[in-house]
Amino acid sequence: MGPAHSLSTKPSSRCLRVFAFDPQASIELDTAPINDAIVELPWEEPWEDSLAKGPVNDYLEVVDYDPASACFYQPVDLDDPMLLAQHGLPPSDGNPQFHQQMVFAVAMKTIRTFERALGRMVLWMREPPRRTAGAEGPPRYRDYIKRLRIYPHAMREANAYYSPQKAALLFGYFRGKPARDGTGGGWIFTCLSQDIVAHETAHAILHGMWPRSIESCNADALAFHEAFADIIALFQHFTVAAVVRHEMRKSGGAMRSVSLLNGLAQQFGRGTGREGPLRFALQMVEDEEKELAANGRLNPDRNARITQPHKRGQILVAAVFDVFVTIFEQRTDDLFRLAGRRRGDTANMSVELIERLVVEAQKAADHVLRMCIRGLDYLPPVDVTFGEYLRAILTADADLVPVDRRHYRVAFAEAFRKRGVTVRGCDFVTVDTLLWEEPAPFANAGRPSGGETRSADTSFAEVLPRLLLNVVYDPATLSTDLRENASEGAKAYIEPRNITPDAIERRNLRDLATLIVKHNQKMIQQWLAKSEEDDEEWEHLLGICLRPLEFHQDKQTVMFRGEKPRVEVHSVRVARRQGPDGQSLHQLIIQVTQRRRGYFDPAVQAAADKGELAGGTDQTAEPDFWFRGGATLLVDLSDGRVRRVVRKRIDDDGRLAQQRGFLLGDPDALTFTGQPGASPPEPFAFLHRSGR
Amino acid sequence: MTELRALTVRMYRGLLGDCFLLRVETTGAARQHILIDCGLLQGLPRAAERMTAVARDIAATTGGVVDLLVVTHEHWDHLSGFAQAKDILLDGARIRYRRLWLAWTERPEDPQARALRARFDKRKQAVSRLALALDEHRIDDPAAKLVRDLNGFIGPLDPPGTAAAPGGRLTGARILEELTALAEDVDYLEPGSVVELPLDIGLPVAVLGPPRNEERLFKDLPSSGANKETYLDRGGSATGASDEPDYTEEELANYSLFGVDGTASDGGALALGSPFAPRYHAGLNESDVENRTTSPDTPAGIADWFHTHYYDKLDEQGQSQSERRIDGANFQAPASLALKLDSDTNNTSLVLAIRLPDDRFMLFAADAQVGNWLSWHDQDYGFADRRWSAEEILGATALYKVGHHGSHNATLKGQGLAMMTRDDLVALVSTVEEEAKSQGRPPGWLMPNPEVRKALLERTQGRLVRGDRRWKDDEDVTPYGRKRDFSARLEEGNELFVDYRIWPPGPLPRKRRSNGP
Repeated sequence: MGPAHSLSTKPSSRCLRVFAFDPQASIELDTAPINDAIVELPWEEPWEDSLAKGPVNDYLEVVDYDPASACFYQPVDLDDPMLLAQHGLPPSDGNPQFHQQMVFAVAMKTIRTFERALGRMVLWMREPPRRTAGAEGPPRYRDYIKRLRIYPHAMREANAYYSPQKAALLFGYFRGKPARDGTGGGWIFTCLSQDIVAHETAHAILHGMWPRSIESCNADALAFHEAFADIIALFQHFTVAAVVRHEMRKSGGAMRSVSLLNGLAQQFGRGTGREGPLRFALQMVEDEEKELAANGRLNPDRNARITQPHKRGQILVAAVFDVFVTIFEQRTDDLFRLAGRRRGDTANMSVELIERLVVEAQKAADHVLRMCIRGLDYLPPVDVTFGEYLRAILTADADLVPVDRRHYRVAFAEAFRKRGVTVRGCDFVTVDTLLWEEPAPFANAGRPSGGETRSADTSFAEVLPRLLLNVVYDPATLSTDLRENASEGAKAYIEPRNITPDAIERRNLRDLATLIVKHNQKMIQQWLAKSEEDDEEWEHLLGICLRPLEFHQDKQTVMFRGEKPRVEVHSVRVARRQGPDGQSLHQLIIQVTQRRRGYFDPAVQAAADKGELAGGTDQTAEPDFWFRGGATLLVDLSDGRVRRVVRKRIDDDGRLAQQRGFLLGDPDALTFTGQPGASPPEPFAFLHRSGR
Repeated sequence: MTELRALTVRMYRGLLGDCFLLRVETTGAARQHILIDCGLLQGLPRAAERMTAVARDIAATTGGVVDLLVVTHEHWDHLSGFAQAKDILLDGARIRYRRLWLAWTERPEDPQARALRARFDKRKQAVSRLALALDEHRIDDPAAKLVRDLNGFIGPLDPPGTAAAPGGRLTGARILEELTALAEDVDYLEPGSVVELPLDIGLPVAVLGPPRNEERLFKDLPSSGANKETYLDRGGSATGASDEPDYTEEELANYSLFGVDGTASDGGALALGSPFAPRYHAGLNESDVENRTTSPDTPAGIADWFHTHYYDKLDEQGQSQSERRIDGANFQAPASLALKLDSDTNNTSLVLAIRLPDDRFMLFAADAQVGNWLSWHDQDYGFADRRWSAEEILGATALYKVGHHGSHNATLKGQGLAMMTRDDLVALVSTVEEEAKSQGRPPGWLMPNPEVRKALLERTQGRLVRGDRRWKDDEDVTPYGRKRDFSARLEEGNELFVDYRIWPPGPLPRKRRSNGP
């Protein structure tokens, strides 16, 4: 480190060069001039680990090992003066160090997008390794891990995937097929494709915030992860100004034009030599446009027959893309009127008009993306369906932006409805009926004191003081074992006696965040475990069992530890969000789940629920499948009120029957094997090798 | 009119494969024989010796005439005997095959069968080539081992240029060709049909599978013992729909190890052709970095960096990082390809239910997997007296030849074993557990799978006969007690086989000393 007072100021951003389109585009005259884009990342803050060789920073660790070639490639040092002077290495698919640079840049960009939208830091999760029979050592559990590892050249295969067990992104490379015009046919690297990198990073981020999302319990759940990652990839595409400019010019500002949609699909696919996953979504939009242009009618139930997870996911992507285009059109109608042009007319477009269109497209993409990401917090912790995601997006937006001036929420509702994504029980037209409801006050039934009405808020107020809701410097409430096992970066905050300039340097905010999350999880767990008067109300609110076994004689399939039911506090996070008009929302988001043993034979299920199964309520007996329930609680920290509860009841036998039906379609369910629907060892590798 | 006097099922022991000989005695006529499959897994020790012994016994017992030969599917562990003991079994002078039964999938002119075979052949060749290449370079990775082991089911590949057919046809297919030529008559059986045994007593036989419905045909679960692998769905998906286009040549070529030009990046070590120019990985050879041997090209400190970030057990934060290694990632796709191919082939098994005169059935399920089992219920079976549903047939099953050596994916629970409700059910499982354990990734293949074994023992109340143990010494059977009426029907004296006398029914007269088979 230099002298205490440095005369030069820290840069505000780090620029890194990447390919805008996939590398093929560099050798085509049409796109060669714009295939060099710059990703601008915020410069590392003092409370983050600085960027080291690799590149390795606070979030990511790029390790360039190529097992197929049995060699390593030297890690790039992005702080090398030669590289800083030219915004990193120039794009080149023949230089592995550039690959490291690009994959790092695009992944970081995705991470920053999520952090801005979610209002909190991204933390990674790692699933425990598969336990082989007879393995020694204590069982490993899911845990937080500091850095996501990236292997840019992991395998020689036309595939790229996120591995929850390795907490790593693996990118493949392979020999491509020459295109019809004879071009191409060289080595193709999936790590050089912006959309693929963004897609995989999104999987990792989603898993980190929502670990059980990788288990499949209904057709929508499996599709959701993929669809969401595709949405991220699609909208990141629109953040590259050069690309959007090129498209606006070619299409005259008409985003629904067939040629543009085709062009998009091709680009997304070019990276791997075939039309990509978004092909189906964009195809869907294209077909709808053609149908409408020919004055046909669109049947809202036309998508009901699509059950294959990958295709089903594309319905969601198509809907979100539709919203984006609707919003873009709304925002740019006045521009065309001012310019005296028709949308779609490509002749003689002025440079200024194109620039304005680009700005509007980027804004619209940014807004839609943020709405989609924020919706994640309002989802139930298990068993998501598309209809619930719609409600989540709308509620999240309504909580942050009370007045929907530009009718974004209406656009969402309409786009989903047009594609047959319905919400059970909500057949009304206005958007406010689709929002999640606020929790009702508790009934006074059976309370000796009577009188005042208690509610979730008063009840929850008991645990709030024990939670850590901010950056802390020696919290008294922190337990000893958490204190001792904290990492260096966190310890530098919580040990005031050891303050040296060096200690302040060592402070790492993400490490502290991990510590705070673990602490809060523990506090909530303890609070739920304690028997309270309000337990019955909370059971109803959260949809899980909290009271001892004697109250649940007909639900003995729920997992109990002794007399008390087992509850898993999935996550406890604090989020700070900003609205467009300066509104700020400070929320605590808690996810709680519980599991119940499920059996394929309804008669066996009924017997097990009553505790009449042969062998008693043996807690270690393996069921046919696990059925989960639980709730997401959203607490507004401005006043400690429980604003929303999104629950999936554990005693919902209808949902259990539905899951049973879904799983019975799974070959696993029918044979003598492990649990169907449990996360297979590499769930994303499967999804990506299949059908794409 | 001919009546059935006795029927004995002989399971040849000590085979991680299938070989069953049925001896049928009728009133007034000579004894007749049915042979169902003959093979064991490629690469097992002393395979040729064992099969030769089995073949000799078959020749001796049948007296040189096999009245009906059934070959259920084209896996090596059901066919190898014909190659390993070809002097006996493929010699027209020594053994006559009066009738050969195959599934419709082998029918030469059938367009669907042809398309299926073409699909499989392509994938088989890719897997075999890959296995050969892995062998040649002695690559010792777990996923690579899986590919090699699965290749054992495919059987040897004819070196190109020596086969009669161009392009190097697989030897398994050649065996079928030879048998088809040798047999006096060949029948290709359709699912849902009811045929008669071509014996003096024409016992009716229901053909339960394989299905023609492609959704069922490709619905299976890749078999991998304890570890579940991912499943592919090209050319038939795990969800059943086969609307994905099949693999192209280029894509299959990707599953070979080398770059298209096959050049090595540096002279000595296990170089597989890095796509980048040599200057980018000079001195960064995998073995050099792992063993920290430096060459003049190795940049300073690089080995340490890779050790900190890859090889060390604990990373900089003190968390375990050995699970984050990707040493095997490169072979996962070929391994998945091999697994899916393996289970698809299993699913084309010919499944027969032979009806005895007292309406009991003998179910020979070969290696049928999920889709095949499910398809049995798609139709009912028109016997002479009435139509039977698959559930009724299963309910009347008195003998079940356990699928695929007892592995987890070849015996269905609800739609299968649970419907076999006869309380005198007997199960035969042809397996060698120890040998299976040494195959595949540790802990190896579980054949029989413990869950399946438990369920079978429950269902049969201890009447489970294994190929690798004597029933009277089997510890698993002890809790159920050794029932006298069952043990009276078992003949376990011979090292090579075990006989189960399923006909005549009812209590047998006291065992008499008998000579001969």
